[in-house]
Amino acid sequence: MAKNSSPARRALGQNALVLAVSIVAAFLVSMIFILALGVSPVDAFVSMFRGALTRKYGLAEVLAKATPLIIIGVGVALATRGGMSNLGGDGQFYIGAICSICVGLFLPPSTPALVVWVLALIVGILSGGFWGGLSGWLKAKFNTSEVIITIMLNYVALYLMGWLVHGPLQAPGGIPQTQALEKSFQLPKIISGTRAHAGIFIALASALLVWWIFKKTTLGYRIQTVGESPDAAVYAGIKTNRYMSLIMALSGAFAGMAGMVEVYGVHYRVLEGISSSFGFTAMLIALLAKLNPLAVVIGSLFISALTVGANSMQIDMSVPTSIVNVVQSLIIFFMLITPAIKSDLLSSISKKRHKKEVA
Amino acid sequence: MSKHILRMDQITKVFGKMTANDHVDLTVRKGEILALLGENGAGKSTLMNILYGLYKPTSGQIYFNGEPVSINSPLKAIELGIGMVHQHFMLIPAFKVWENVVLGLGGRVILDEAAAKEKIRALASEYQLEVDPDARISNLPVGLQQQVEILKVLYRGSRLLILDEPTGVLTPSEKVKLFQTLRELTKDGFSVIFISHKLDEVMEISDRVTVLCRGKKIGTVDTKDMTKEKLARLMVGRDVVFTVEKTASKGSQDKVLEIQDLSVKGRRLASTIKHLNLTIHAGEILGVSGVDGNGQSELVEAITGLRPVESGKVLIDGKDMTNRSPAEIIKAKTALVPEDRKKVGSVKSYNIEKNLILRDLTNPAYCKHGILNYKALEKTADEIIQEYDIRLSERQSPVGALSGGNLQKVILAREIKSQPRLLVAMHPTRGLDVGAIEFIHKKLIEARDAGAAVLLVSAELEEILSLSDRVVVMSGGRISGELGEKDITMEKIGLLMGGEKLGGSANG
Amino acid sequence: MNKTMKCVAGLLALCATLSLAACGGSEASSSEAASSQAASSEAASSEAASSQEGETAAESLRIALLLPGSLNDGGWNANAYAGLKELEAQGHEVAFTESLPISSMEEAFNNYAANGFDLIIGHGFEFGEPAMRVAPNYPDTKFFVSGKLPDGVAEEDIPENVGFMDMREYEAAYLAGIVAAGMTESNVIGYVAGLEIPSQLSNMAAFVTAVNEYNPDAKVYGVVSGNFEDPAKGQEAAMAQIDMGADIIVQTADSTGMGAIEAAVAKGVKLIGYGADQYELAPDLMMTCIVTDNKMVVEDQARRIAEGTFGGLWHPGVADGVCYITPYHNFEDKIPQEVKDNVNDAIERIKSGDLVVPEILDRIDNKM
Repeated sequence: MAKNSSPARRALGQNALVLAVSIVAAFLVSMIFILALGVSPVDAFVSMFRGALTRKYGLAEVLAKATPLIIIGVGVALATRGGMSNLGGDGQFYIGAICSICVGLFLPPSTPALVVWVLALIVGILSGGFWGGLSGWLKAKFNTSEVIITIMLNYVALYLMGWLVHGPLQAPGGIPQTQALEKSFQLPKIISGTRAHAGIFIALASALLVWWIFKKTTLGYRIQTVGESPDAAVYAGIKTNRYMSLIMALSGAFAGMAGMVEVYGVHYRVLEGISSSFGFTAMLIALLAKLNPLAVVIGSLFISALTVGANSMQIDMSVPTSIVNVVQSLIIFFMLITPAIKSDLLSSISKKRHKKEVA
Repeated sequence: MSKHILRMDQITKVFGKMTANDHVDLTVRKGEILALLGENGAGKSTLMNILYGLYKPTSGQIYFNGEPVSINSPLKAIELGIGMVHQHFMLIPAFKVWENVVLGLGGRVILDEAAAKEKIRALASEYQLEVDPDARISNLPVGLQQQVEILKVLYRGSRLLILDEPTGVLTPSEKVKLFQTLRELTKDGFSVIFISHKLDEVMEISDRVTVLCRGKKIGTVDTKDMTKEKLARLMVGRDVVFTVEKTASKGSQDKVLEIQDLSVKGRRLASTIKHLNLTIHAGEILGVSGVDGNGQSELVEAITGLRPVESGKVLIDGKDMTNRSPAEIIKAKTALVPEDRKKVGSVKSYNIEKNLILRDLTNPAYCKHGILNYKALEKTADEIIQEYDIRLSERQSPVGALSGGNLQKVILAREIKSQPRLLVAMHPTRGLDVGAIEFIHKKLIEARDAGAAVLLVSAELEEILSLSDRVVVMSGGRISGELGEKDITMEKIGLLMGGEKLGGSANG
Repeated sequence: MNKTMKCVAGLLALCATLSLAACGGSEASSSEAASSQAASSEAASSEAASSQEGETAAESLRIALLLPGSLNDGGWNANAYAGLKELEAQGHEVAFTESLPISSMEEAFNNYAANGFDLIIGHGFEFGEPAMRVAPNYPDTKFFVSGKLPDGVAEEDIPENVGFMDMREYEAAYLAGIVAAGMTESNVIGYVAGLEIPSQLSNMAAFVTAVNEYNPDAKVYGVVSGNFEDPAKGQEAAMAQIDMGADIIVQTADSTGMGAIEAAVAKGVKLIGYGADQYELAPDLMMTCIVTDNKMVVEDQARRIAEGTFGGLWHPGVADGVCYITPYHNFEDKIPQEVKDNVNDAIERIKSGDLVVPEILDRIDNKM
């Protein structure tokens, strides 16, 4: 957090190095898989790159995909910094989506769009926050593991949504989905003819907000202290139990907000599968980003670009998209082992040097 | 046969960037007690862990009985005849003494209980250890548990005993007993490595002393040629003042802390506080002495709101602060230097600035409307670094990178800066080097002279003796006695620590 | 070094995109040219497509198929995939994505369209809304949805490059109703349907209508199981119907229907199957099956583009040969000639337009 300080800068440099090495290594290993499929890896990666980054459609799709990941990701980063593990991003997302669409469905079509958006955003934040806060409160009260509770609440939210779109909220026509939003209530597109929508600005604002909270505010300081050292937090007079609920509620609020943004920006209705495990992907991104909210933005764009590129690669080269899951997993894998390898390498080098000195 | 049982030759151990042992030589003769002296972090534990097979040395060679050996596991060490009594005992409380002794010996499937007990009894009587093989560990006092550890080592046929800070947990009388046992053992040809940073003990028990400083060996000397001052100079590299300059307390009648009939449930029975009364006035240092685990932690936690009070009252500046939240008690101008400076007293990933506001987040000088002013903080931090002579390699490093002494200075600076009415300091110098101890003592007295009431909890008798205006001794969760400034002597405190009442002779 | 690489890659990509777009344009015009040729031959159905095989090299299309389920399902998805394979054999370049959740359909359309595909087939009515959303952005790409119009979309709202299908499977169900009416002895027929969706309801209604017309004494007990994937439920329903005296079981419920077939086999009750020729499942009991030829649905789109008839709402049914009932196999001799004649007569009248089988979306079986 310290500005312009050399240790911080050095750490940043090291992280970037580790990340770069991991990505390169992951791509190299993935090449083997692609080769095994009888496709030229170079062609495959060119197609991937081209699909994600060189076309209006690809770029727009990257933005659209990154939007919910950024919002959930900064929430996850916030929770993790506060020492809590929010694996309930999907559940909070669904709850936020369901509650916020009701605003758009039940307000008269003549309502100004801005009013609908603000109300829906607030409802999404509150409902997602409630869903997340629940697990924090349970941990504070009964010392239950928030990891298990958030995962369980994912299922509750998923089935709740399933019931709603098959039952009370189902639109006529047989497909399990709610009615669509009024056209005027839909978030505007930022690139016409694509899925990229104004929600990306909400995502960027969220990332900036979380960054600012940790950089400047006592709230961020307290959250971080609870996460870094619960004992020190108690000693500092922080009511850690209350903060557990608060941290999870804040984290859930972001996921709930993502639900609103995705519904109003992309699908215009709630249906099954609108979160393709955003929660877990966001968790992964938050960890890749070392819990830095601004890095979460970059990480989300990167992962989205990988996915979009993969889809394009699948079409061009008939390489299965699952290869991209392999690439993603490999990046994580290498990120985890690279620091270990690095320190091992350092110590073996210093040992050799030492032996030389002795000799 | 060589006259040395052990020779460690040019041992080096590197952890990442840090060199914990730098070409250290160490020899132990048969039948001697060698003290390994050094400040915390000097590399004593690393060296001993290498000897006991827990770490692999980066380079260097160990000779045992003149033979080069490679000790790659504790099992190998035990096989060779090296036994270690750890600072924290490795006993299973639910097991009986004899079971703990034979535990981990392997070999036969069926234990010969009678034979094992017989052997334990024989060993115990030979070295005047008062251990009953059938006693359960959880029922034994700490001193006896340590004897079980020693017995365990002897049972396995060790000829070289390593004792890591063995006196830290003992009462003075238990310490005397331990030293007797050690002398007995050396008479029979056993060798002992005695790890300590306490100069008095080293002077008393050892034959020779090897001094380590920052991973390097400073030298090995015969104890009889040394004085405490000379040893301290070797250890720190400069002269050290052992007596603290201190004027008499001004003796204000202003009661800052008043504890009335306090009962607090403790971690253990012995540390449960029972009906305790205590008063501290402004401008005085009250020393709380006693063996660790007799309710001192609980007392401090109850005062600072970290542990619920069952009954009784805690008054700070006349206001009832019983069972108030830590935040409210901080507001009541109570400062705390906690026992655990790494886990509780500081956040190791934060730099100095961020640690300085740990307990001061509502201070308008640094924080307005929930937004922190790091500029202002930086200035304060610079001042404190100057004033407290805090040494850091990089200004913005996390405090986790600071040495114990420097970290404690940061914590003390923060607590004193808040201009407390009540300053509670728990083991403020434990594990610190002599230089830092000196400085912290000076600062505590300064705080007192500035009008704060200081509650000093310490197990170091010397510290209590040199700083306190009054002393209370805690034993079994009660105050076993109180001594006025003129009555404070090592002997009286020692008696009270054992829970004995001073036989009517407490004059005043 | 790295920078130059990137630049080169970027340029390459740009070129490729441009050339693709150019190709798309020329293809569209060449297919138009071809359509005028095809118009003269005026041949119907797939034979026309295969007869043109020699020329297809010139008008080869890039065709993508989006499937809602697994291509190994042996029914809806598998048949469509078979159609795609047929198109590939005709010289078209094909691609597909299977098991697409509704939430990813728009993205998939976008993806293929952006990659320069000429025809993208969304196999199922769930694809309607995503197709409507994507299609205006890619006027050079044709979108076909093998399903009805989405709610709230009128026929005239359909963009030129989009085609929907409202197939008249119920016409085949009507034919099956004629068979059942003539073959029941107990005058009780059991009908196990799947989800309560329009196609299922209209099938059942058409079936019931036929039974009423050809055998007014017969009763149909219908069950809408609400599920396409629960064999146990189908079995239970069929058992109940057999207990009530049914001597024919009709199923239109995919996997749920498998349970109904099992029940019928166990009790020796005659069967009418669904989705494919299910004769093998019960050779001695299966009289016929109600079938929509999805293979032909998919295959036909290339032909319709070539003919210039693509787009709008397409109503394939018995007349086009897309919906039919399968051969009688072992029942060839058991079904009275009169019944067979009735069936053939109905087919002729549907083709000529004399007979319009009503599309009824109510549970009319309940009203009996």
